[in-house]
Amino acid sequence: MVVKDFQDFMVWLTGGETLLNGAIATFLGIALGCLVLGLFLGYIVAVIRHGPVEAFFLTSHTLFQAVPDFLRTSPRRIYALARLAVKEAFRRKVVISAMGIFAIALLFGGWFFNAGSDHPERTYIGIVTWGSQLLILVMGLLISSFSLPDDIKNKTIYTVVTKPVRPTEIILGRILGFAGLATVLLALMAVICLLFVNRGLTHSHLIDGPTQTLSSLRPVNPQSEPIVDGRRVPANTTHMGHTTAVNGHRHRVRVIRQVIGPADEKPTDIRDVIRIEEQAGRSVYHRLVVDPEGGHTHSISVRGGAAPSDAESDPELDIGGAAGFFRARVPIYAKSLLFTKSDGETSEQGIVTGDEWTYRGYVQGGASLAKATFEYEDITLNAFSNPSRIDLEMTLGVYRSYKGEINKRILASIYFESVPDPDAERKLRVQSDPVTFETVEFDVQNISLPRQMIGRVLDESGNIVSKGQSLDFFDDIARDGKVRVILRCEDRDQYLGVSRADIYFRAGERSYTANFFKGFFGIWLQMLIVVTMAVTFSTFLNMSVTMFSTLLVIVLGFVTQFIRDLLKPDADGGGPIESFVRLVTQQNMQTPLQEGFLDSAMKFVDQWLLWLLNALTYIVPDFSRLDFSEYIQFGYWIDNDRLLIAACLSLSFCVGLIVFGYFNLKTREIAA
Amino acid sequence: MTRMSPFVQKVVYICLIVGLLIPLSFIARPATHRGESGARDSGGQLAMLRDQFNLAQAKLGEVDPASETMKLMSLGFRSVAATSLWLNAIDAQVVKDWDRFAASLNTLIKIQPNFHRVWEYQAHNMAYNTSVEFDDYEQRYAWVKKGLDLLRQGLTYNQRDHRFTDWLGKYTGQKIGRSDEKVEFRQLFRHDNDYHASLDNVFDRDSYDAGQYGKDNWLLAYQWFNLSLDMVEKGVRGEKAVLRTKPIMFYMNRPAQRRNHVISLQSEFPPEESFKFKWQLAYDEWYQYGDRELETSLNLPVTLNGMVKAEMELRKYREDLDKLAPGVRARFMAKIEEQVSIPADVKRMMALDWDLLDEYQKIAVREAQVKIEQADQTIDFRVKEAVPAKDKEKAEDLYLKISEAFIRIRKIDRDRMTINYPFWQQRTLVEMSDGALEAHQSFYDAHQKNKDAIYEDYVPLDPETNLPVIDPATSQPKTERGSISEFNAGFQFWADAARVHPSLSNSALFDIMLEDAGLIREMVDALGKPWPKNFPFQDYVDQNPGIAQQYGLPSSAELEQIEQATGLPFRPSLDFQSADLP
Repeated sequence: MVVKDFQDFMVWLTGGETLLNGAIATFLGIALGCLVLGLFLGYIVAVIRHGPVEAFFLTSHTLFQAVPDFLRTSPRRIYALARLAVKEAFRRKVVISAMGIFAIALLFGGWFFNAGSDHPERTYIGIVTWGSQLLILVMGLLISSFSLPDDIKNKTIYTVVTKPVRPTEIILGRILGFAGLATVLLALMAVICLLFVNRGLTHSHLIDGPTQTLSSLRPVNPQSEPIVDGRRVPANTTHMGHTTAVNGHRHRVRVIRQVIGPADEKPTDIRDVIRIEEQAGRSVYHRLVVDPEGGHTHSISVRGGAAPSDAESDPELDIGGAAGFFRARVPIYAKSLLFTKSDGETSEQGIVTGDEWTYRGYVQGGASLAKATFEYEDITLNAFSNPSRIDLEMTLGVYRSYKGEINKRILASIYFESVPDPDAERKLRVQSDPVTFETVEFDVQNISLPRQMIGRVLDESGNIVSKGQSLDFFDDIARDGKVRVILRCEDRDQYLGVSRADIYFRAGERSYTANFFKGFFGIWLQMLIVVTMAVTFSTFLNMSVTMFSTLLVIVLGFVTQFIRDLLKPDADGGGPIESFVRLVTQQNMQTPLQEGFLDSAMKFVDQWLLWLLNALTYIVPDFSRLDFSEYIQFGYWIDNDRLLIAACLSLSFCVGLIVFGYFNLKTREIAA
Repeated sequence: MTRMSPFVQKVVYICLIVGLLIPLSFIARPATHRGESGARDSGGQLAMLRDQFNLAQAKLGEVDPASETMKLMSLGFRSVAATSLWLNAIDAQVVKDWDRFAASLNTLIKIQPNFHRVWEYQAHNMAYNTSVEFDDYEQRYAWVKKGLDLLRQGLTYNQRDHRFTDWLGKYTGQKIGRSDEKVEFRQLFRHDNDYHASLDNVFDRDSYDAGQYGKDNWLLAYQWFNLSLDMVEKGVRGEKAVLRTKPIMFYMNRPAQRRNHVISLQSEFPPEESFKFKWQLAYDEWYQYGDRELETSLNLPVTLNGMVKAEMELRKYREDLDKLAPGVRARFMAKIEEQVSIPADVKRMMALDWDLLDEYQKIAVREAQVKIEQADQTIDFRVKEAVPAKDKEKAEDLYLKISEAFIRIRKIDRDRMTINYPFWQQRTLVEMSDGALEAHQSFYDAHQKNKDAIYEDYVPLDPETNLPVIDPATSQPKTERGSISEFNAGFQFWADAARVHPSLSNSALFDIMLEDAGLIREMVDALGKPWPKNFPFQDYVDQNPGIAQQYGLPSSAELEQIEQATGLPFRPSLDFQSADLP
């Protein structure tokens, strides 16, 4: 998953060291700007209609009346108006239509899913969240765009405004009514989607063979037969077979040898162990494993549970349900990433291998100095749900500069290093011994290490002070919660690509269901903005214009990032006018245009247009910041900082829109 | 103006809708098959038009509800949706989000199921571009299969478009059988029972099974091309597919897979007697292809094997024309031969009967004829003009036949060269011989012995007595060939073959073989021995200095120079560039 935004909520809110960079300062600045601009425009309009003196009084009156209107807003009346809004929405049958469409979409949704894809859960979740989002936004738009203009047109608004009701209550009542109704529907959709995804992905397999016993797996010797049926066999495999094919995939079932030393902790769960042997003081566990396929695996156990010790026995095997589809990993990302090139030079960008996508920087292989250093904070005992093991997870990119050995993956190594205390007199570094492993590209690779490690101590110059030392990860390496992870590529002149989010500590797992609802919270925020915007627009626009204006803002909100990418100063082809000229004169985007007055004029106008376009992206909400569907698709816990930022962004938009709507309604003759 | 009541309005609308639905149901009626007899209703006008232009599924049973729903759901914005999905797929590919990429394509193809470019582009994209993004060859293979699966899905929507089966054949053959990972891919393919099971409704599994060598991708490619051929020649459910590629390329596909199959087997397994039979099959099919009449852009059907016949016809027509104006051609030829130098032996060959010439002589004669024709293209015309008036009509007729035969020869020659027809004909012919099998065995043994560092000939010892093994025929100690001798034996066969079949030496086959000559160079270098004096491929080395240099092989001139300068034979370990040359 691509993660570029690592903002902390408090830093975002307060601006960290500089208050002016914070969201509060930005919000207050924009609010003040809008207030001044609004007053000025309001006064100008009033001058045209009533003359300068009366205009002054009218403007002041409206402004000062707003204070009691907002302060004396009655929750009881808001509630009453919200109930009316809900009733109205039901009367319009939009809700029933939306739920009907949702039901039909789910009934026939299976036609469009490809269960045999590499990660079907991502496709399933991606489509259901996208569908729910689309449906709820369209529904929110429809119910809230028609309400007020229809009332004004049919003059039924008089039945409300003639009562002691404030404009704030009319607006808030409608927003809360429509949003409340949409919230109930969205919650319903979330529950149904969760069940639908669960149902769609649940499956089980059997052992593919004449019996459901160990004899259906064939013995293998990876030393003499490293490739069986064209597939590589991991070195510790003793038996191999397959499950039956279900949903377009099958899994490889293996028996592996796991050697447990006398000092090692013995596994407590031995349901998947078919035999335990004692060899030279060590225990050899013959374990069953189901290799992951299509983003999941299955539990496997020996029927009856107990591990038979007889090598001749043929135990019956049980394969459980799918596991690994629904996860909510809690990652602790690095605070910084630094690349060291083969000549020792360090930079924040790694080597560029010519890939169009520059998200990852690359580390050269086989060069003694080349490495990627990830620095972490907050790696404390309390942060991990199981501190006896250190789970590192990574998504690495691989670039081969030459073919190399086709049937072997690129080798990488990783080790931990302590961050020396800057105040300490002697800046010693503690390093764990490196762990070498074969890389897996485009998938999450897990490396689980025991908390107790073997390593060495180095002085400031890199000289070894002591080696072969037993180290405790938390006490000796991650002191004060700070630790470095160093990644190296071990194959000469091959390259490994990483970004800051690509290697993280998996602190634990949380509830997938809770995470799913957190994902839907993002959709709820989007819906809230749409409803508020439509109600606000409907205070001064008619039905169809309200609907199209809101729709336009929604579309702009979804393509904000695209527009900003277009506005980058180094973008090819220039601004809108220059692009148009290039299009009709059939010139490519890089050819310099003929210099002259026309060229300068065109570029000058383009500059202003681009500025306007850029400004536009800041007055519409960036919906991509409220979209958390990727987190649930890829199985990552949505952290609270992200949610709080999204909530604050949405609420500030809503507050601004409500104030704007209030003044519109207040100054409209219908509501005067 | 009177206003209708809402009820009456509704009734009128419903009546109008129903009224419109009746003709619509007639013109949009899908085509159906009726009963066992297969009596066919070609459907309404719209169905016929769709069928004619291959726009969509015009028959019941072919309609994919998912695709139709998707098209319906996109309302009038189908093109907008398609563009958006294309952009999304491209973006997903750039950021390597393969699940999103696959999901976008899955939706895209449902929106544009009859636009063949979508299938072709994206299947190629998956099998060739996306697969190589993965470091693990097993994942690469999985993406190659995804590309193939996409095409198979496309085939269900486009059952009478042979390009789909052509692409399937091409990707199955070339991507699995020729990429860098071909050994691993072919091994995976051989054991990919799920994939084979998925093809059960298309082919009999035995049809692409190579016996002890298991399932073979080239034989499956053969089956796909065979399906293409059936589509065009026999049709699908009684309707023939329109041929959308050049006939020469289209009909070449199927026979070419036979030889690809055996070439791959030869590179992976020890030589076997059965390979000869496989080459025989390859030769037979290639020859049959050469006999097939192919449509050309000149509206002049030709066969690739028709070269000799056309050349003999041309000769005969010219002789007949010469009889009407005796001596005229000879006079012109004498003048031209003064301008273009033609060796005396070639002149003699030109006078001989075509059948009496060997392949090399035919090439020499053809080259001489081309030179003459280039020097003066009006000889036949001038001979015709010199014919007396009484035979003018006959001369005109012969002149026309000469022109046609001449064009045919040119066309056949160009087509033969386009697909390297003579080379493959001659190679398959040579490969099915016992000698070729022995040569392959020699090369195979040479490689094994090279790995075991047995470079020179040796006398094997009896493991029990530790004494030399005696050859019962000669009662002398038996001598086994080392790697160098094995290589030389293999090279000797191919050098001899190239003397009879000239196309062999002008091909990449010999270029590849020179890589093995590079191994000989390394071995003699390691032994400190001189370069073999009568190296069978020495002529070829001399003719291809670029490739020879790549493998450090000395030319005859260099060998001679070194020997003259140093009085010693060439040893690769000596740097002859720095030797004290005259």
